[in-house]
Amino acid sequence: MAQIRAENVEKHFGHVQALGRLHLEVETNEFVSVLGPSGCGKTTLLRIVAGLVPPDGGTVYVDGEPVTGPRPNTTLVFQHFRLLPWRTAEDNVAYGLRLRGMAKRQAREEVRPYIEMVGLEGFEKSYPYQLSGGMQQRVGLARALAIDPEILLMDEPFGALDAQTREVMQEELLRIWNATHKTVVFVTHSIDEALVLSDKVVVMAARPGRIIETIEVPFPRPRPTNLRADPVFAQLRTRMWELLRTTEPEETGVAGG
Amino acid sequence: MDRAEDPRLVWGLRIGFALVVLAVWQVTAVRLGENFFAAPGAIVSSAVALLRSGELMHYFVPTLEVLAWGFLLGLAVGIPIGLAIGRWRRLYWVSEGPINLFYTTPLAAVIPIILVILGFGTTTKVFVVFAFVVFSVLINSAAGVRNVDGDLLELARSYGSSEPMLWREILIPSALPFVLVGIRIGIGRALIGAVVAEFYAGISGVGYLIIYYSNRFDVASALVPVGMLIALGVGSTAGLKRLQEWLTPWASEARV
Ligand SMILES: Nc1ncnc2c1ncn2[C@@H]1O[C@H](COP(=O)(O)OP(=O)(O)OP(=O)(O)O)[C@@H](O)[C@H]1O
Ligand SMILES: [Mg+2]
Repeated sequence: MAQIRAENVEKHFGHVQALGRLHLEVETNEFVSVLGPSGCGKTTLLRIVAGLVPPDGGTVYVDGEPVTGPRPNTTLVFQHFRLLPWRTAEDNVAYGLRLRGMAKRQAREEVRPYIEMVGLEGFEKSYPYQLSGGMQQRVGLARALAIDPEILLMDEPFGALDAQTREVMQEELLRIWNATHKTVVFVTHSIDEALVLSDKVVVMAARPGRIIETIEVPFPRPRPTNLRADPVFAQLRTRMWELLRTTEPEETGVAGG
Repeated sequence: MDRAEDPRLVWGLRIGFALVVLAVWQVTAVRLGENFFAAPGAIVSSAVALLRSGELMHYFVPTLEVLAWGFLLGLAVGIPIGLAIGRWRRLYWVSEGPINLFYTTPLAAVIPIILVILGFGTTTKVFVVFAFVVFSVLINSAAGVRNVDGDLLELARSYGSSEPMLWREILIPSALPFVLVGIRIGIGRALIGAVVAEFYAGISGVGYLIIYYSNRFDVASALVPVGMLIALGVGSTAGLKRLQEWLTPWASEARV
């Protein structure tokens, strides 16, 4: 049974049809990437799956239950970080644990490995305004990972990172995913990133936001380091590129990996 | 475009300007006759005389007590009610009109009525200070909560925050800079309230002192308690600014 199942999901914002009759299935422990032009409804889809906004039509099921609100086993990594400006980096990372009743000091202890994982040692006591965009994004990432959710919804989680940090983070994410058996829905603008990380890539088109193609990624795991040299990789890459280009020529904001 | 300020230049200009003003004031006052236009020198000697005799403190301490009680009561009532109004929309809908009505009422105009009800004692004065303070604190506290970033509320919801944790982690820190602005405005209004109340209710406090010396055309002595009130206002506002920098580093330093 699919862990996440979106059936006929529709969402309007005024006259804008953000999502129209969208279907999506994500298996337990599957890593699915979502590719699509800007404004095609990727964030809206994640917010609906996270239970933050109700769909206007259709239903999302998680573990067979219709989603009616936020659930403790699901965490969303927000596109624009959403850190608490009045909390230090470590307290931002500890936010989820604090909400679960953990004492401040213990929560700070608990999140240390996550701070190290995202490479923010030495910045524990910094406030968000003292951090670069990329560092803020990593705080948001660590905050989500620290509560060890079963389902991780990630909205362009590496968008603000430089190429090198991005690769390190990709590896870390795969390691965690492997070790903790999470289900991941990963929104990205990078075709390469989607191919390197995912079991399955769904390509969306805009107006109304819908899935136009689902592509199984056939590479074995752990992914070979020379993946990009594989002719199949190049083939899939071209196919996705074409798909994105035909959907929304003027808006296809595909950023290179 | 961000030219560093040389503190020596800044303070040199400030002190220099103040000295020029004082000098012009002194000369003008002496020429016009000190009855109507007290010179700085005369004010200083009046201040020394009033302090020596103990008269200044005798009148100032009751005023301070009235100020402290009225102000603290204003905070104790204004902050929690303001925060609650900011959080719960129904409360806001109900109270918005009455609060604006009270806030715009010229309070000085109703002091005689308050006197009739509460009498000529300290209670009236404390109540007047309270009334001057409470609405600015309340309105700003409510605005602080209402101004919270909706994205952060969604964040809290997605992480399953309880209501107490929502207050602690998001609403209170977010409202704090607004509350402090309300308090700062409240300080100025408290001083007005205290003096105006004393003008009406009489017999004690610096308000009485000011009237007493003004009636005797001793402008220099009348200005001494005024100076004390100014010093009190400036001092507590500066202290509040320190407090704000300490309490909300993200809000002040982020603008550097
Ligand atoms: N809260 C909202 N109010 C009004 N319109 C909205 C809202 N959220 C999204 N929309 C609209 O819905 C459409 C889809 O938005 P969404 O944010 O889901 O796109 P996206 O695929 O995440 O884009 P991007 O890649 O730029 O992040 C857009 O046209 C957007 O303007
Ligand atoms: Mg988006």
